[in-house]
Formats: sequence, structure tokens, C-alpha cells
Amino acid sequence: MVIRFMINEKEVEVDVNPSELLIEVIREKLGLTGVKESCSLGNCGACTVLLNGKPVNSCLILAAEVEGATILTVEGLAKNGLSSLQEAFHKEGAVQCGFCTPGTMMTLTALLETDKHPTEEQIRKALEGNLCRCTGYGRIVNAVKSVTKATNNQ
Amino acid sequence: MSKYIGVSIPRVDTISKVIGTTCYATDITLPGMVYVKLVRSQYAHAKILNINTKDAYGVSGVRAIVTGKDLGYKLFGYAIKDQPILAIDKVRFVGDPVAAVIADSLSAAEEAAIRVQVDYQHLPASLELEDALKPEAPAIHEHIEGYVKDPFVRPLGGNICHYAKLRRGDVQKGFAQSKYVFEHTFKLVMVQHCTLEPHACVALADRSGKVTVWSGMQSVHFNLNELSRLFSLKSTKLRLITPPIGGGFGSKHSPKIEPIVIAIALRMPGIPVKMVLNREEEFIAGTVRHPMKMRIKTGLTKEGKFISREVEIWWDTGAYADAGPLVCRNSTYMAPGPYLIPNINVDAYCVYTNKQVAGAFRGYGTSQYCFAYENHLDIIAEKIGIDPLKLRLQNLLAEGDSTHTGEILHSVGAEECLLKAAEAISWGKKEEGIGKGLALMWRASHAPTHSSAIVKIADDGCAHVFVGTSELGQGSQTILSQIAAEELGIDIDSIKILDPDTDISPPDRSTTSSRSTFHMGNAVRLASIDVKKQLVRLAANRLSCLEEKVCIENGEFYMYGSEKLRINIRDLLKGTSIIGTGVFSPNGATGLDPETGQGKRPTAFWMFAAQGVKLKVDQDTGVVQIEQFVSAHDVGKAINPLNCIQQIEGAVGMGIGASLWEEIQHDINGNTINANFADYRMPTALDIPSTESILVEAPHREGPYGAKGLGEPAMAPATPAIASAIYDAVKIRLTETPITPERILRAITKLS
Repeated sequence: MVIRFMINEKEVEVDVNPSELLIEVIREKLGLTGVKESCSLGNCGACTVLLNGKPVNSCLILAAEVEGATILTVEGLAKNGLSSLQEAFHKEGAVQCGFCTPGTMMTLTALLETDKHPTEEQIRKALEGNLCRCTGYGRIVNAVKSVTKATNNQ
Repeated sequence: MSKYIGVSIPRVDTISKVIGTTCYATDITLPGMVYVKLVRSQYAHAKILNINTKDAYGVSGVRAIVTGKDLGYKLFGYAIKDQPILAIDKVRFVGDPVAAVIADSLSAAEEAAIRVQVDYQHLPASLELEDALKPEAPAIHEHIEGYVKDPFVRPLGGNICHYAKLRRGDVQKGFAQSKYVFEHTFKLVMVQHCTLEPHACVALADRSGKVTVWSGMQSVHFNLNELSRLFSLKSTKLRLITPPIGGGFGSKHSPKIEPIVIAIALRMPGIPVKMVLNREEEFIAGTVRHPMKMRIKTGLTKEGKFISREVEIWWDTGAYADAGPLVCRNSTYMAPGPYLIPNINVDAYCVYTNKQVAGAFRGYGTSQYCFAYENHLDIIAEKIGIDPLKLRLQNLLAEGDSTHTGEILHSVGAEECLLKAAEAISWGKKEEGIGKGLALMWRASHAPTHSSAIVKIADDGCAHVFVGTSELGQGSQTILSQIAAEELGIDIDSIKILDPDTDISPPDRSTTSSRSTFHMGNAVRLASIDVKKQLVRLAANRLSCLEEKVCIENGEFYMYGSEKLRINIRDLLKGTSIIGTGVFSPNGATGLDPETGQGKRPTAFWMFAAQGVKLKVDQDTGVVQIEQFVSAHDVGKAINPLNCIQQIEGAVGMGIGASLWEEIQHDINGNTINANFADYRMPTALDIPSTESILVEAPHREGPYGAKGLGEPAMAPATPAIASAIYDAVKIRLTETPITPERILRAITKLS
């Protein structure tokens, strides 16, 4: 079956099986390998993409469900250069092995869209579904804080 | 003033990670690729009677199915070559692979794998250490005597695959002279690395018999050695490449899934073969941290000076030995702890059980025995009425002291770490409702190992650095870039660190043991200095002056006193490149005497770390709330302080997880019952408090700029510090991990 949707501001048309998962389509059919598969059960958040602005685990979504939807992946976070969150991740040391990073940034991008000044507690609550083994989460929280501080200063 | 050493520059590889272009082994796709799914044992210990693949072949897209008998290769392994690529006559743990299905798609391979029928004959299984040690326990490896083993390995019969000991002084005499003698036993359970990137491997054999392998490997050269032997391939016919890895912590050291993927690739020349473990397989059949039981007995004077210590350690290494014998051997000289003790006996046993394999895991045993020796000390301190900090300080090893092997200690920042951690949590000041705990650890990077590097500088002033160090997320590419940039006098943006590739990278032992900054840092430094010497020689020739008179500034060379006449590197090299080489291994490294465990220098360097924790315990729910966590580390020299802090914070997270929640659980048949992230309780962002990191510098005379290592230590003191803080808060002492709310509640109830 052919489905049509927007991904990173581009319209695409993909032929999918009814049982095919969104993550498989994004990685294998569209060649966008920024999104990662780590647990296949929606527990770790490495596969997080934004579906109509909301963070979802793409390993749990059937490709067929995204007909007509708008998807954002890590590759779409900035047209040129880096988004302020990506820049903050880089400067604040929020990235080590980087495998959880795309999914984590998608979750936080969605958070910052809805709340420009989340508290530390809110940041950590939002991150609850994104597992990271390398960083201990501290620098990731700092990265978000540096973005909100910059927003304050504008 | 150094431009790069001691400077917290952002990492050189994060930009590509944040834009999603970093290509990990899991991302590699080649045209015509086929996919592998392993058929795994459902029994902990059983003979394989028959494997029926008829129904499996009926699935559309299946290209081949292979079994252990089909493959016919030797056994592989680490210190003991005890592991078949696929189980041949019997299976030794639930998850032991018995067949491999190769298909055009992963879904076809998975569907076919379910249809492979294996007939087993049950054998009694030994799931626990105690079971495996019973006289009637069946041998898990009946033929261990005939296995190829490293010379130091000493099986002791039954399921004990290695025994190591240390003898120093006379412990019984020491106990006789002691005013106090205390003895305790501690146990730690199985936990796992839980790297976000699972194991992934792609192999492609060409028709000439040359194999190229892409896999997240922590030790390409170590693996080349082992795999070329296993497959009887010349080292020039096997090429191992490691892309950036999504987490290692020891899980990707020594051959893991590479053997089966290579074996299949050799049978299908011209066709790329890929295998990625799913998360369930990671838990069931990836390696784990060694569960450990340790009995520790200490005799001390009335004033609290240690006189005698006796240690007995049991390492549960699972179905295959992997790193077990080395963890066991190294524990003889580290498990007694960083204290001056004139009389020591250590007996360490490495035991096979019918569970998943325990292998290299952050700390190599140190995070387990630290729980034992530090909690033991805290219990003693309370019993004899001495403050635990004081008891540590008055027994602590210092610069110039002898370790338990007779090595003279150098670069010892232990006391400063301990004092700073204690001060940070206001040790000694009682706070209402708060429990405080302190702990100290030590860890040596074993010697001898060596690292080598090649630096190539081109006429545009850019340098390629060829190393075998894998980037696991620990920041090696950044640190090595900083060292090269510093020595070459060029911008860090002009440096490229190549990924490990056995066809290109000079040899390196491994990316383990916190050894890379020290060993590879030195090698890169030496190679860079070599390049600079050659450039200076060329410049001296061109400038017609002595080499000593050549000055370098911003990539330009001039003679001292004649600053106007400058040559830049482009003019100097004119379209050619120069290479420099560096090889490093610590001086005078020795082995360990098999009878006494003594050795003058079995280590490259020692790391020390102390942690302090303040926490609350909810007495109705047993839930622990960490209020403050401080970690002080002796790093020798912080080449990149931010990088050091990143390592500390991550390892603290793992330490807290292993202390309070993490445990791989099995049912009575040996099945892992929590093989997913919902049931295996890895810490989330809500669980780990902000960590305060303190860097202490006790420079090492052989380290690059005095630097040592840091990757492993921060995990170890967490467990004893937390356990002691819980005791301080609610007067219950737990000697087994994880220290869950249920266990705390049970103990509180018992106490009342």
C-alpha cells in the first residue's frame, strides 16, 4: 500500500506492507538512519520522532498509521547549521556515545515547543522515556537549561 | 600556557552525532545484504540430540541454515578457548546459540528460526555458584583440561576454571596478634552494561578469500589475533573495522558476535552478512558483570591499624570463561583494598555456571569488591568506635608504600580524594533525617600492554592520526586530538583521528581498562614529536641553520633572530607528507608469581576515587532518595576536565543503578525473566541526582602530561557509600545488592 506523508518538511510517497513499522520505513526506505532502534518495545526512546509535533516511539507505530501526517526526525532539526538545542548538546557535553542523542533531542524539542521555560523537574520528567547509559543525564538537563537561559535573554 | 592540555574543549565528534550522520555498525547497509537470526537454547544445560531444519527451509527468503556441526571450527575465547561458534554437542545456558538462519530479510530469518526444531536431552543445571561447586554437580566443561589456555590459567577441577592466590606475610600470626578480628560476607548480583547500541556486525568475504568485517569492537587487534587463528586466515586476509560505537563498557571487548557472522560470510562469498542482536538477546546472551561472593576477615590493633586480612572470592563466570580468569587473577591484588596491611591471604576462584557469560565490565571486578572491603571497614569502624573516615585515613596507602604485590606505589591521590569527598558532604556533621556514607576505591590498569600510533602531516598543515583506540563515547578521539594538536602546534580542527582498521591502524592492545589516555595518549604524543622533529630538520636545512635555532609559530618556521624569513609548512613539504611513529609500553612491567601473587610491577598506573553520599530513606516505602552525590577522582592530569566530568557522571549513574535496582533475574530453569528495559530497572533521568565531580591531580611520571585514566572508577564506590549512608539513616546494614526498597523494608521490619 502506498502512503503519503511529510517528513522533515518534504513530502514523500512510500510503498509499505501493512505490518511494516515506522522506524523501518524511516531508516530503510527513506535512508534516514539518525533514528535508532535499541529495544523494539518502546521502553528506551532511542527511536523517538515527532509525529504531528508529539514525541512517539517509532518502533511501536505502524507505517500505515502516518498517512497524511507530519514527521520530524533529527535530520530535520535544522536546515542550516545547528538548532539551539543541538548547539547546546554539543557545548554542554550532553553527548557521549551519541546513540540515544537523536531520540533524546526529539523529545526535548517537543518539550521546548510547548514550554519555553521548563523547570529541572519538568525536563527530567520529559526525559523519563529516553534511556541513556553514558551521561547520567546531568549534562543533557544542563543543555536544556542553557537553551532556556538563552531564550530568557532574548 | 598550553592551548589544549587542561582545556575543556567540546568533543570533536559531537556535531555529527547531533545531526544524526554518525554511522554506527547498526547503520551499515550494503547491496545484496542478508540477515542472520540465531536459534538459541531454551535449556540451561542439555545435550543436543538432533536439529531439524526442514520446516524452516520452507519459509520464503531463507538462503541457508547452519549448525555447530556444519561449521567445524576450533573453539575460541579469551583466556580459555572454551567457546564454540555455535554449540556442537551440548548447550550450556539458556540462549546458547545452536543454529543460524540466513535470509533475505530479518523477518524471514526470524520466522524461519522459530521453525527450527531442536531435540535436547536435559542435563542437571547449576544456576548458582553453590550448585556448581557441589561434588555431584555435572561438569559444564568436561574437556577443560584439553582446552587451549593462557599460561597463567589454573583450573582446579570440577567447575572451577581458574584459581588464583596471593600470599604476603603470615595472616594467622597476624590474627593472633590482633586485638579485634572481624569477618563478613558480601554478595553482588548479575547486572549488565546495557549499551544503547546493541551488538551489530557486518561481514563480507570476497571470492579471493579476504574477509572485511564492520563491528563495534573495543579491541580490533586483539580480535584480529584471535579470529585469524580461529579461521586459519592470514592477518592480511582478515580486515576488522570499527565505526564509532554506541556504548561499550567492556561488552564489546574480545570476539562476541563476529565469529558467527564471519563463519557465515565465508560460506557465502560476495554476499554481505549482517547480524544485530535485539534487546532480549542482549540481556539473555550478551555478556554481563560477574556476580561475586566475597568473604573478608580482618585483624586489627586496638587503635585500629590493620594487621591481617584474609579474602576469599568466588566469581560466577557463567557458561563460558571469557574474561573471568583475568578478573579473578586481578582481584588477588585489588580486593584487599587500598590499605596498608602487612599480612594478606587472597584465594580467588572463577567458576562456571549455566547462565549467560560474565565478561569484561567497567572496572573488571573493582566495583564488586569495593562494596565488600569498604562496607567491611564501616562495620568495623562502628564496632570499635572509630570514625570511618579516620579509620580509612590511618590505614591508607600512600606514595612510596608497597602494594599487596610488592609494587612501590607512585601517583597516589587517594587521601586528597577522600578528604575532599568528606568535606563536600560535611562529614561529621549530623543532619536530621539524612544518612551519610563515604567510600574509597582503587583500580590498576594491568601491565604490560602496548599502544602505537602513526601521525601523518600533509603540506596543508592537516594531520591524520592512525590509532587502534575505539571511540565508545568515552571521548578518546577528542583527547587524542588535543594531544596531537598540542605537540604539532596546529589547530584541533586540522586533526583527523581514524577509526580502528586492522589494515591501517598500528597495533593497540584494546580500548579497556581505562588505559587509552595513558598508553595511546603517549603513543600519539611520541608520534607527533617525531613528526615535529622531522619538520624542524627540514626547516633547518632550508633556513641553513642549526635545528636548535628553529622556531615555530602558527605553522611557520623561522630561525631564531631572523623572524622575518619564514617558511610555511606548504613550502616546506611541497605536496608531500611526513609520517611519525610512536610506540608506548610502561617500563619494567612484570607478571605475578603464581604461588604468591607477588610482582614488582604488574600495573601501568593506579587510579583512586572517593565518593560521598547524602540520602534519605522513606521508612514506609523503603525508597531511597539521594540528596547529594559527590565523586572525587585522582586523574593524574585532566587533559580535558569536561571530558573527565562526563565519564564520572555516567559511571556514577551506573553505580547508583547497580546499587539500588539493577539485577538480571532468572527462574528455576535458568530463563532470564526480565530481559527488557521495562523489567530490568536501569536508571532514568528521574533517578540520578546531579553529581558533583571533583578532580584531583597526582601526576604520573610516565603519563602524557602526568595523566592516568578515568573510564572505570566512578562506578565502584557508589554501592558501599550508599549502603553505609542507608545504615547511617535507618541503622540497617545490607550486605547484598541490589539494595531495593523491598529489602530495606524487610530489614526495617526485622529491626523493629
